[in-house]
Amino acid sequence: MTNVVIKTENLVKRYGALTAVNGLSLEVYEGEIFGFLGPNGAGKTTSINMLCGLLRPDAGRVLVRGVPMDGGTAETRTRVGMCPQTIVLWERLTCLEQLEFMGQMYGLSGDRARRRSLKLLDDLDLADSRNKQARTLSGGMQRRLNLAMALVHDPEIVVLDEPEAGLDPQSRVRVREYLQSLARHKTVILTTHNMDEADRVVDRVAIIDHGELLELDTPEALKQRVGEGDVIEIRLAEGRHDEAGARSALAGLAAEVRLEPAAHTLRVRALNAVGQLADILAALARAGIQPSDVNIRANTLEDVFLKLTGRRLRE
Amino acid sequence: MLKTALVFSKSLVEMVREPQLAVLILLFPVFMLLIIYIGYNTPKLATHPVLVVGTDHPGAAALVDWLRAQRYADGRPMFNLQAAPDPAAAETALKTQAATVLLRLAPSPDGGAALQATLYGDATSMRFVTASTLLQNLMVPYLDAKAGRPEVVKITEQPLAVQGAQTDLDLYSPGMMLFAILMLTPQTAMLVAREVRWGTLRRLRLSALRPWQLLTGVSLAQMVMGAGLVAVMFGCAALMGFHNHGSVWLAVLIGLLVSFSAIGFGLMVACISTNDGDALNIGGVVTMLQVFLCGAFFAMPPLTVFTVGSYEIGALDFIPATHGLLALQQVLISGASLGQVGFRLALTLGLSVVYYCLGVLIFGWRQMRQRT
Repeated sequence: MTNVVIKTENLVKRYGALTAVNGLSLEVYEGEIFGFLGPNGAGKTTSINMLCGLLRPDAGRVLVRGVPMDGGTAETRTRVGMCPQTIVLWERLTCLEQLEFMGQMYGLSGDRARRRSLKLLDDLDLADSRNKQARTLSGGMQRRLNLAMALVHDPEIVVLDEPEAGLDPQSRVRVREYLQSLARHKTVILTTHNMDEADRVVDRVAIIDHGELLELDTPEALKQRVGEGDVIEIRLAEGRHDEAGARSALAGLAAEVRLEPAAHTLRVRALNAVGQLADILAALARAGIQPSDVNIRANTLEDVFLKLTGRRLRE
Repeated sequence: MLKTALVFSKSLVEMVREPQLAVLILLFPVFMLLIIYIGYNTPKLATHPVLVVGTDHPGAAALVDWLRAQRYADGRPMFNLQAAPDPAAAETALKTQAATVLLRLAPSPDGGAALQATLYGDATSMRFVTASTLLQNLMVPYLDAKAGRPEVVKITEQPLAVQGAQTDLDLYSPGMMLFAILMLTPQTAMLVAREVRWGTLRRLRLSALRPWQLLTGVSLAQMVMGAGLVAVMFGCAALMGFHNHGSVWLAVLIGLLVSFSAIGFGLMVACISTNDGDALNIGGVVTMLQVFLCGAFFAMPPLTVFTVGSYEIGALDFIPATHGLLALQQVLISGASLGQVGFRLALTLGLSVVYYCLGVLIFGWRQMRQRT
């Protein structure tokens, strides 16, 4: 996964006094699922609009396989398939008609567009509705068709803006599985507010806020590096508890050690505490502290996100 | 060209699946045609129902017989003269429009042999005005001749056209047909603005579709609609008694040329509309302005802007529909040939191309270029 498919160099986009994207530089590798995380108004959609060539940056550039998107050929643009956050369909065309239409607009032959369309309808469980007009579909079906529209011309790069928004759990799982199956032969870039989705699906995640890239790494690495850390709740045998002793034993292993006497619980917080669980328990044993039960709450991507972007409400 | 053909076929499918819009756009001009038919369809060659009082006076019966014998060129009688049963019944007949004129004949007050004729009727009714003028034009020379007075002047009417408009319906029908075609302006604007609102235009932009490919596809579908509009308007007008004296194919060609310009205006309207509702409203206003300014309802003053050689160029000459209407009227009412309306057709085409290209350019610049 080291071939760079998309590269952005110091992308800047301003709307009057507001700088929506400020010096965004990143690389997206072939075959990976790349996530954009950020609060509302962080610049995610602006960034992906520039990645797709819909928006011209005020400064910087987007390179697709080394070719500049802005001023590049039409072929460069058509390497990208875009699934917008809102449902974008022709209400009075059937599922099959709109897929065939878009496929041919992207230059596929009539036969190939039809084959591709039928396959996508099948893959996304829309085959039975292929002759239904889009306006008659349920919200979930429209969303799946919306996704199919981005894929009909078999693009090398698929950009998805909130692909799971508005989906019921069944559809969400179906779409998630489909995206994961895509990643073997396509590069997928997605934006999402759903941390669980990002954690489960993406290979690497870029967290942006105020138009700036705050972090870019794998979810696992971010959870180990950023945030409040994992929390280990160690239930102790009833009796006298030595908080100072525990703190001393875990020095260097835990960021925070707190005793809750009423609950007979020692709360230990540390980055990658889950990975160090054996060491922590051994250190406590050496200090004569015997746990009767251990509960773990791992650091989540949401914790990482909130640590980086804060808890203040946006927009 | 393939992309244009794809957009064309998609637009046609959408129009077919949304017939309410086309029906609404068609119904309005048909409704106007119907109003003209009902309200203003004053037959210029109608046989006017006339009630007569005083036929027992000397010379009256001969006058009535003479009037009864008067015929139009096509052989139809000019008047249907009936003796009025009594003054009250005659007044009722006038009020209910069972009769157009009450002709009261009486001896001359000077006691001479001449008759005195008085015409009664509703002076606000075009039927009365037409019938009474016709009666006067016939009776005055007749009575003068009977009284031995010399004929001072002889007036003959010579219609400008080969046959000329025979009814107000004939006169107004070309304008109403044009009105129907100009309704393509709001429809085009709405369809294009809807692509913007739905976001499908963004999708199409991603496929590297060029503005002219999109707009030509949409426009061709609208021109099919325009041809349909002309055909339906023709059919409706014919059902209402419209007398066509020219080539239907030539009229359809003129209709298509005007629809081309209406679509161009529609594209420009789409550029300044934020949604399809806006587009319909603004497009409707633009259509009504064109309809009135081109003279579809009544002739407009020339409003000369400048002069080229001996030709005065008016502000309304810049509206393609002005020339389209004149050409349509000349073809349908006067039976003009392609050669006779060629100049107007060329102007309609030239102006339509200009407005269409302007529409494409502005739309491409406003809606389809990469956003900055």
